[in-house]
Amino acid sequence: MRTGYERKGIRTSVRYRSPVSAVIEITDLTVRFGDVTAVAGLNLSVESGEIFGFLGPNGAGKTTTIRTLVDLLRPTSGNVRVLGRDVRGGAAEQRAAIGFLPGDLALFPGLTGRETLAFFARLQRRPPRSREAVLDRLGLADEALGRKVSTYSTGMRQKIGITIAFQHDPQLLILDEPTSGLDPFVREAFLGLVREAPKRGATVFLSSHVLAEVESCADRIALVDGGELRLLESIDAMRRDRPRHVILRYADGREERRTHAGDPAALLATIDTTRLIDVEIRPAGLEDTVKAALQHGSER
Amino acid sequence: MRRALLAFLWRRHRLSMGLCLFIPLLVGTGVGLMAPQLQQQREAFASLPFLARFLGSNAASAFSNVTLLSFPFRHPLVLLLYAVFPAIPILALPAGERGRGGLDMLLAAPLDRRALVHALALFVLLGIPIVIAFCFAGSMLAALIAGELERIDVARFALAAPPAGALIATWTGAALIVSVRARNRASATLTYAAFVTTAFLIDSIARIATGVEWMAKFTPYGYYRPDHVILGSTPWIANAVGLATVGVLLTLVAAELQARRTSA
Repeated sequence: MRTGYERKGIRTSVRYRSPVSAVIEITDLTVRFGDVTAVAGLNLSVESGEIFGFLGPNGAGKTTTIRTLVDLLRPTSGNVRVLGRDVRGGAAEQRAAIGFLPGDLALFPGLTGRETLAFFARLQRRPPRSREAVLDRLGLADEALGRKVSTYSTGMRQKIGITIAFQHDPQLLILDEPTSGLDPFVREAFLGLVREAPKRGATVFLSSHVLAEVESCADRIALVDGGELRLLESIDAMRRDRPRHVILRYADGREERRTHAGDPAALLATIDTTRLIDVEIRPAGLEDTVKAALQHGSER
Repeated sequence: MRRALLAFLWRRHRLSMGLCLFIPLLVGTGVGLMAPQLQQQREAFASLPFLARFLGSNAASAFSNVTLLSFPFRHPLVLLLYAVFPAIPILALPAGERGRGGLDMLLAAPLDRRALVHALALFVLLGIPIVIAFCFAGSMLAALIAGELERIDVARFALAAPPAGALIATWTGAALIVSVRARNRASATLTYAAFVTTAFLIDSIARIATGVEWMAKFTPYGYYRPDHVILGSTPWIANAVGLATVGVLLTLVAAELQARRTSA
């Protein structure tokens, strides 16, 4: 039987369901701004303890979707449930269990870094148990925390934003383009924090257009484009199924090039091994899979 | 949480709101210095009926002690202060932060949408006694400089304080409505300035021109006549309660509008 996703032409090996363990459940989410449809009938479910990569090109509807998850934007239609409750007008405990980093982070210029963290900790209603550890990992020095955030570089502001999201050990982290402005070392440190979050029971919803980052830490990804879901797949399945470029070299100088996706055993069964002297197999990157999904979506 | 937000607002706006408080003191000093001369020439000024009507209820009372010494409660600059004082924090949040992006951080922190509006109203409410204390101090300063302090009934001047507070409460509600609906600080400021200016002009015209006194009743200023309160010629309690009630209702409507906004 075909899944709902398959009927809509979305590539997936995952059946949509509303599991009890779902931390995020998005059902038929549509968001319109006047005549423009930013998100069109999106269905997603993110399970507890998962790192979920949310990908898409600019203007795909990623930020719009994320804003509905924290009730900063109300859907035109559809439902968004976070931590088991409707996000609209959610209870304080529910919302305090979310750590959020917006894509366009705006801190308050009159406050120092330390005051900013303390202010948000009071709003979050949870003790900032992880603050020092996160600051340490991100390399934000004590001296810098004493300065006003108006004097900070983009990267330092982003570090403060990340610390705000992580400091109260939230159950759910919703991070929109979290690595923008970070140098490679800090980016790696941040991805380490993301990878460790599920170990303490947290779920991560990570939006990015840096595919390599998402591939390095996510369990599953969703790809959206034009407000529609194009791909929903586990990273393992993508690695297994992604096309491989195969070059076969024979003793008589022949060179045969193939592209193979799916079970490697099937590939081996088709190779003529007579006078075969070399086999080169290059896996396609995640980018190829994503590009293929986007191309498939635009052709539909 | 509310305390955190109040502390945040205090830290952000204490300087600009504090500077506003000097207006009644400056007006009081000016009035105190000029009052003796103005009273000596009151008959000459009485020949300018429109000015007399603008300053007081009639030519005879326009340059009386009470009328002049009540100026720190009702000078045009002070009337604008009543509108500007609540607008300083309110137009910065939510409208200003909506335009800048900071509102997303606050509401996702999480700060309840209604609680945000209520906290802003509470913040201004806590500042109202300070504003009216400075207005009262302005009147007393004027009386002291003019050498009238011994002759005035200080208790009657204190009666002008509740209506002033109620007027600020009304402007607080109006500023909240504008701020929760605006896209950013600039548009909120323009809209609010248009409201305040229109109200001020209508009230001024109603005072100056004859036969159009009824127009004043369409503005908050029309229900605020501190000189009449001090003279005991107006039932101020009903007006003050009315203005305060309007302020509370507008605040509740603003909280509801913020809660129902599609976008934060």
